[in-house]
Amino acid sequence: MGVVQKPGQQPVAQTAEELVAVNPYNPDILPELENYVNDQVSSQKYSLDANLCLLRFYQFEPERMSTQIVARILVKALMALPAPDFSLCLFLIPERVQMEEQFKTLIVLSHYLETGRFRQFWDEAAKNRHIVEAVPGFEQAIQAYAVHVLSLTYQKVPRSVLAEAINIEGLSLDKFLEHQVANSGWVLDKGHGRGQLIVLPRNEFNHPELKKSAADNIPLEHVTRIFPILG
Amino acid sequence: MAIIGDALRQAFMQKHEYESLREEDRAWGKLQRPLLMAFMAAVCLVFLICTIISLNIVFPRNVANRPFCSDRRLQPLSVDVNGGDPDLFPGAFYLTDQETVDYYWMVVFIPSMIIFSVTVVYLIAGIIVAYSAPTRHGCLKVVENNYCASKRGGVRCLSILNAVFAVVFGLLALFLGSSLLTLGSSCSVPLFWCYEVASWGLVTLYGGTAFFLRRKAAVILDEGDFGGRNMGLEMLEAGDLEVTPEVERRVNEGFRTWMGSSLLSSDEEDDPDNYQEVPHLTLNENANDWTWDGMWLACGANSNFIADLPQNLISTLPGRTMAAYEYDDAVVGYDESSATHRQSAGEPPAQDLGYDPNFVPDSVKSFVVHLYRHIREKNVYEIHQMYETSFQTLSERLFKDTPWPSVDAVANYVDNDHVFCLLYREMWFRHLYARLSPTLKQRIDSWDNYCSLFQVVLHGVVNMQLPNQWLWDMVDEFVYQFQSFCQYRAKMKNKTEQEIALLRQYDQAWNVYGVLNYLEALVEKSMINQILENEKEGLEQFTATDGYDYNGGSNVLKVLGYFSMVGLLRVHCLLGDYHSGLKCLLPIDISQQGVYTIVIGSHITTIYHFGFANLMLRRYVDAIREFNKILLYIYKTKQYHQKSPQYEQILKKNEQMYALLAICLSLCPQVKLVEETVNSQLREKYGEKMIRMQRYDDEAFAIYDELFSYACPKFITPSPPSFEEPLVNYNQDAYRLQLKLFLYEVKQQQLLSGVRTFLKVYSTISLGKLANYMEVDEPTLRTILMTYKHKTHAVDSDGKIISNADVDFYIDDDMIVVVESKPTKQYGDYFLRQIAKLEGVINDMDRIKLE
Repeated sequence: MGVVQKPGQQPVAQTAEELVAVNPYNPDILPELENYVNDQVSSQKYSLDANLCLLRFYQFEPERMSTQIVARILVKALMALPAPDFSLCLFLIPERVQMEEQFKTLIVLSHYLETGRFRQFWDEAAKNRHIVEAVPGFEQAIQAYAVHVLSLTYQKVPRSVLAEAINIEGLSLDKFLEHQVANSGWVLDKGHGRGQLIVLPRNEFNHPELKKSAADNIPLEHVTRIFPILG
Repeated sequence: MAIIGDALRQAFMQKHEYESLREEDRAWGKLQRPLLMAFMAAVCLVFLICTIISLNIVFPRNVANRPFCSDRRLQPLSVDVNGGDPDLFPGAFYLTDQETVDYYWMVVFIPSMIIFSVTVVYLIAGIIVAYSAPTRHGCLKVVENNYCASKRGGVRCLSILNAVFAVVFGLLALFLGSSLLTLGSSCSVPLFWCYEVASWGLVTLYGGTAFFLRRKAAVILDEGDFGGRNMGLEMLEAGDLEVTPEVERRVNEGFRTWMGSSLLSSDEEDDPDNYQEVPHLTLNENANDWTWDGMWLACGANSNFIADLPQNLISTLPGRTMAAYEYDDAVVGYDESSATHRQSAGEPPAQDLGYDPNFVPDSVKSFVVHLYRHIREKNVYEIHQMYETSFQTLSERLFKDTPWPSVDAVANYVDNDHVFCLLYREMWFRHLYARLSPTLKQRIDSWDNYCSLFQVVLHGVVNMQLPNQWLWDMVDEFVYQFQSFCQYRAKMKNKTEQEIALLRQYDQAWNVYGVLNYLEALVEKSMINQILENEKEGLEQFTATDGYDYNGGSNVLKVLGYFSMVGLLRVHCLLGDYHSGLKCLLPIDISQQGVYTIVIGSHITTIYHFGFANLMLRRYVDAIREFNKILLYIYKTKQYHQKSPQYEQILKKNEQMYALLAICLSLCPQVKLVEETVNSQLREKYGEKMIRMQRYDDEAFAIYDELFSYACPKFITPSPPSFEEPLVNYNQDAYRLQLKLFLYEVKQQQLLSGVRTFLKVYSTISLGKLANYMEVDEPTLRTILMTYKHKTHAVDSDGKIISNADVDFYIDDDMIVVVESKPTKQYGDYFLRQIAKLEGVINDMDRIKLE
């Protein structure tokens, strides 16, 4: 009956994910999942399935809920943007828990991110350092999300807009850009006097002509229907 | 006398005109009975007169002058004939009147009278029964200890007896009557005529009675006392099922087969090995051997409470004992009125008699006996017929607002078969949930029953084949009862002390872990994922055989496992865990036909929850595509389901999915994904609302709220209440949370429809200009545009970014370049279809040439 093996030499993470895969409805694995959340925080991993599983157990047995763990899960979910993980988690958290101050803050942060208001987000995040800085990699994850949204939207983005979105300015921004130019195919474009423009890598969303027209493809099964006729 | 006039007029009508008359307008039908009665009375009168005359001849006032014997005209003639040809009758001798009369009296009259007096009981009973049909008359009792009655039903037996007696009297009339003529006395002719008339009168009476009994009464009444052993006509006649000769033949055959094994040698079974070898485990035994590879199943803990049940029932539950008393009262009440009830057998038991769980109407006996037999014989077609039609019809007729007879009462008729009793109880509870409101105790018992049933299936000891419809209904009902229990439990405010005590005591009943683990165990144990994988590689057949096993195996576990995936999706949606729900459904490829599409209920449930989960995950395009498909399907096929018990449910889900489609299309206007028929239906239902939803003011939110509340699943709070705190209703909590989060999402997309409107009319526009038009500053416009991009580019289940946008754009510095995604025409499909069509035309032409 759900005998949970104590993690030995193996990292906790491995075991916890396996446990979720074997039986996601065994409340005995709850402590392992809680440990795994902490593990995700410390070693910068992420498993939505394991976290949803844990939230489900909390939903089934509210008395076992640990708000600290829930907060960590939510921060990790924010970092998973653009995937809708944050709202997926919220769907499972009872409303009265969401009324707590730290969760309200996180919901506001998520709202800013979802609506592309990065300046407000960074301001708000700065006011709540204790929540977000508890999770290493938070800033980078959000910056990655910001870059993702920007590259969906812009072919060429003004430096100031980028700076605002990723909350990096001055010399550090130069460093950041240097890094991206070297690694991710960004191009720095001298603007026409107003400021620097950054050419973001091409993708099918900012260069629609790259989009493969899926309409021309006919699945083989459809063609097989007329094989007898052709033959 | 108007009726006679009608009858005459109708007699000369055209045939089709007559047939078009309503039953009650047909005068002949009304005239029939009085005419028959008058005819019968006349025959009786003639019989009586003849008897009196013959008695007068035998015992005259004056021996010398017997009445009717004085006709001298005949006497010499017969003497002459006989005397004139003595060689013909070498030993003939002539009798005096007295000798003739004595012969008549001793040889003819007395034996005939003895036979008559013995048989007249059956004649009178027969006449009365035939007259009082379709109501059952007490006179049937005269045949009740007859062999033929026990085999074929009382009325049929009575009819056969009367026919036999008619033949007997006919023979008597022929032989004894003719013997009278040979006597050659002056009295023999009148006595002959008296005897002949009386005898043939009796033949007419007996024969007529037999005929009418056979034609009318037997059909209606013979599911009477011996219904358990008859052909189950009651069941077949019911409702819209026609008794075609084919059906009758099948039933007769079935009856014979069943009779063969069960009535004649009821203690021997011919084929015990082709059915399930069911260990008659009690539940507490099950608890011990329930080990599931480290899997946590609620029954482990749960079975303790099940094991405790009997003692608890007796000792600690006043509610139960009281109920038992009520049942006893009901039984008394029933006995008192059973006499009147008997009179009207064949009618449903009157509701005011009270419900006696141990009274099994004959039609139910017949139903369970046949269902049991069909299950044993793995006759899936018949099981399906009985399950879909007979069960519904009987419920409609006999159990409109009472439960079916208890399982203990019917167990005798099915050899106390453990699995059949579980299946029967499953249906029993389903009927109860559908028609009445179950008590807490009944809810707990139903859970208990599902546990036992699923454990039997999971242990792999069943060897039966059940229709997919039934297996789907099991899973569906299991989840429904779970949902219903959660809703019930969450309404704590008006719970009685007793109910709260029960809830505390049986806290494992409908426990969410138990429910999820049973479904998961069914999926795992059935290896359905493996089967579906193998099928893709052509190693195994599942979809092609609709899940049935044609090699003698059982389909139950496999198909239950398959449907459990849909069940898991539904439970997860009820809990608000959309991601996990969709993950449970992954093994089923919903872009194709599958076993889930065979049963309309499962098809709709699958797509409804799939669509809803995708809507909540912002994958609007997936939701729209699937909603469109199923709505079109329902539109085209709903006429075939009109008689189905699920028809109401189908229509309701249809409406709900239109509402969800309206929401999806308002958030993500991809109208070209929607078929024209579906679109016009949608415009008809929600056209005006959808226009208002585009406006994103308070009214628009109200409409989103309204549509969502109407169309969302009945969300549940799975955790038990805390009994210590003041009791409050929390049944709305889950729904309110989901609604709030959904409206939150709507709010985030508030400004997008404005942008969309502007983008549609420009191919390029500068940021400044657009900001000006939208009355916002430039940084805000940038955030709006980024929101647009973010919200229209969903992440699919593989983590890939998928564009849902109908109007797309990109920004080059501060110029917005609009790219309207053109409706791409599916030429390929079009050509494929045309090629096939052309081939058809060419084939047709070839055929014409050949002729």
